[in-house]
Amino acid sequence: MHSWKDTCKAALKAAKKPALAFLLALIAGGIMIAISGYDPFWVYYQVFALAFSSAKNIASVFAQATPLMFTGIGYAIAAKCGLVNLGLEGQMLSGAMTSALLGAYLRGLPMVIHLPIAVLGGAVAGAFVGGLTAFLKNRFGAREIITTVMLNEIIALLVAYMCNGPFRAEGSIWGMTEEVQSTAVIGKLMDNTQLTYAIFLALLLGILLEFVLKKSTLGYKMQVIGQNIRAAKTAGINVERIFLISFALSGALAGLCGSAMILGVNFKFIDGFSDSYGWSGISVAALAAYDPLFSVVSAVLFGILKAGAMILNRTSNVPKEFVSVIQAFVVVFVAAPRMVDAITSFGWLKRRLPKKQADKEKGGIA
Amino acid sequence: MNVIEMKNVSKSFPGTKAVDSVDFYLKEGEILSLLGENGAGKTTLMKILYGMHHMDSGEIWFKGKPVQIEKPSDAIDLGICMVHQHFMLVSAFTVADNIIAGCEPCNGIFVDRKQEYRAVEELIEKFHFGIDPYAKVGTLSVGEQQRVEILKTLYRKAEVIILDEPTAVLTPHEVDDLFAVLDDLRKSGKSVVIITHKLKETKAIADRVMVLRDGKMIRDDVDPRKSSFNELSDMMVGRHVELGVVDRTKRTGDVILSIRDLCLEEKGHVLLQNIDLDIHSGEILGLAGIEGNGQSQLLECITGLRTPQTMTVMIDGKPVSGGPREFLLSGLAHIPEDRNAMGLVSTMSISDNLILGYQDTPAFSQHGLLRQQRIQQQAQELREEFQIKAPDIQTKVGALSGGNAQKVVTARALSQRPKVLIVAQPTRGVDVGASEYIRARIRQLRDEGAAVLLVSADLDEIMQLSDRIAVIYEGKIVYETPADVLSDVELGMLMTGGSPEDLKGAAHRHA
Repeated sequence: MHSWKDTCKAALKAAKKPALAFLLALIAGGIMIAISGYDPFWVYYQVFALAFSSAKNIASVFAQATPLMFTGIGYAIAAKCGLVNLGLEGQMLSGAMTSALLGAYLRGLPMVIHLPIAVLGGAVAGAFVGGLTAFLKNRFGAREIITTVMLNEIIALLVAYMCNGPFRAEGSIWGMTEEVQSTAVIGKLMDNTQLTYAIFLALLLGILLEFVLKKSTLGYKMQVIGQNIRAAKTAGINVERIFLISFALSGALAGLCGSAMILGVNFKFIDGFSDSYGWSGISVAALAAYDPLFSVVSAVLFGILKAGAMILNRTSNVPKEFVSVIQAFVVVFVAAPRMVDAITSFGWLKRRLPKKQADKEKGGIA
Repeated sequence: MNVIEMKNVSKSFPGTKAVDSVDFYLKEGEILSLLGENGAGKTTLMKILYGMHHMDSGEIWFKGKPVQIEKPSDAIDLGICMVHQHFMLVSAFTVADNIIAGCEPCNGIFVDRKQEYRAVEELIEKFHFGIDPYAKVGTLSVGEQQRVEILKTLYRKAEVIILDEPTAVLTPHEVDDLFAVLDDLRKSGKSVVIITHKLKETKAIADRVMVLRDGKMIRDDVDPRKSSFNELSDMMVGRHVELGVVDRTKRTGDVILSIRDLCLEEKGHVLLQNIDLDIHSGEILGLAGIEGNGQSQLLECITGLRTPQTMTVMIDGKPVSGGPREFLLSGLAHIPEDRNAMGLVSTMSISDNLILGYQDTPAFSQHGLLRQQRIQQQAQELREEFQIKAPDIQTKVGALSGGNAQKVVTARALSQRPKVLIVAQPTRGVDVGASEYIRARIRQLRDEGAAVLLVSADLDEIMQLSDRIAVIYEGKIVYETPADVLSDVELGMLMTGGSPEDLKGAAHRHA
């Protein structure tokens, strides 16, 4: 078979640009930290050192990474066929609400039935919202970039209404649903941490979707559509069907992110609980060059930053929000490869310039 | 006097030496044909002159003085302009707006419309271009759009005009118009370089020929009037290629592809009108016509990409309807007119591209998974059979030359042993050697009993390859004839709306 060796080689080559983008994002984030009056070297050192300073902190890294894995893979699977799913946040919220309600109001079921139903319910809800976007695109030609963002608003307000209105827990002053039954709780991997078995589900799905993408006819069709939709149509590929599948998969992943947060960490839907898990998925997938399996790795990278920053925040005044700044910069640098080229051609990297220029001009040999 | 001299110019791209110590010169008031196959370095050499590429070493002299050309605007300032293969026009703008864009006559902060149109009208008048400056570019034919591009260069006071493959998209008639324009330019003292690999046109218009091969200058002073096609071709290719092989069908059988009553309307415009076509087993039917007379739409309809108002298609006696998939599965293979946009995924490997459209057939998949071993094996075989020049089958198709990319599309279509082959522009942008090879393979498929519909803007190709010719004009089939009955002039007349009666008159005059 033509094999893992080549796959690895290709992966390394593909990883070069994202790695550079991440490095630049760290530098840009460092400048922000410096402007805020802290020493960026010290902060970064502390973040990475603290993240690995104890078993509990390592668990915290993976706990932070778990939701990002789901949404990262979700974004990647849509991106592979050329779709921009900006609706992960809404899909995640609808999954979270569905899981919270199924978890709280289904009673008297054994765990082996209740938990899968609650988890699957979240996936289905996310897939439904994602599928709706694909339907609007296929049927009416509505651009998914617009509809997903609009649906985010609609769903955010809908779930806020639900947890403040009809489904508000009795006696609660803050908008939140009833706590889920113990039969619908995802088990912890380590006591007193937020790390749950959901991480294995995320990993499994990452591997599964990577396999689908690389080895199946479905994955082949998705890639053809993503890279040349006209050729896909000419070749008789049912583009609309693949869009639907891809968007539903993407939404399902986002929905599962919600499920994992509700059933594993919060145990109820709390108004405004999301730490932008959906939006973070974009950074995660971008850093992974929109590859499902690499999204898992890139989620861990962000997990380190997030967990480290949170721990640091407990003992110092360094705001943990700088991680969001870095996340945003990653997207900027991944989305603007020419800017990366321009920045890296300054100064000590300048001697690389002639080669780079030649690369760019390569398109014009014809 | 030499208006341009390039001395010892070299340029490397990663992995290839695109231009290798080339000396180039251009005389005032001459038309130079820069002849070479795809990838010979002719476009690169001219892009260096135009400032789009930077040479690794060498010098450029303009009117006896050394000059530095860093970017296209430097070249334009000197009066060196280039018309690219793909036009750079805004189709929603008028002709005049397109021409002045970038150096508008200004009146304060406003564009001086009066002056703009006067200047453009004068130019059109002076060079007999026959274009309406008020027309929207989107409504013009390809040939007219090209003239707009040339006008753009003249408006910028060009003295040297470089045309990249100017006839690639033109019909015979448009080619003649273009040559008339070029002749006018020559008479008014402009120097013209045409980058081409077409021999007929080189002979028709050029004063001098330079031949490039593999980045090296082979000859710089060939007189086109004293060289035969085969001599030029051999210089260009570096070995002997038999040109223009004619090999008509020996045996035709039953009707394999039958199209009845194809009508297509769009927004009140009739694009195709009552098209009936029958193609027999063992026959190549060539569809001759000027581009934009409904060929693209016809191709879309009979490959399932578009559903017309009415159409009955029978393949081997069985009715076919639905989308491209249904047509594909009923034994119709399609070599699309624009291979890069419709036929290939340039970012994917050769082997991945060789299964495109057939990925669900049992040969390539099982239980929804790709049978990689088979796919690779087949790709390996096809690469050898079709002599696709690439390091291996994992090479991205985007890295291949036009000829090799077209071989990938052709190999894919032919490997499925189709009953019907729909092939459009099979050799557009393809070098001489590969063109002849692809044509031979199409003939071979015909001899194996397939029905072939050939659509090409290249009338020579239609006349060389077809066993029967149908002429399409404004969405109608206006004439059908066996091959070798009508001359290219007569066909050209039919293609531009002349009636068969005119034909008799013409034949009479000939006699």
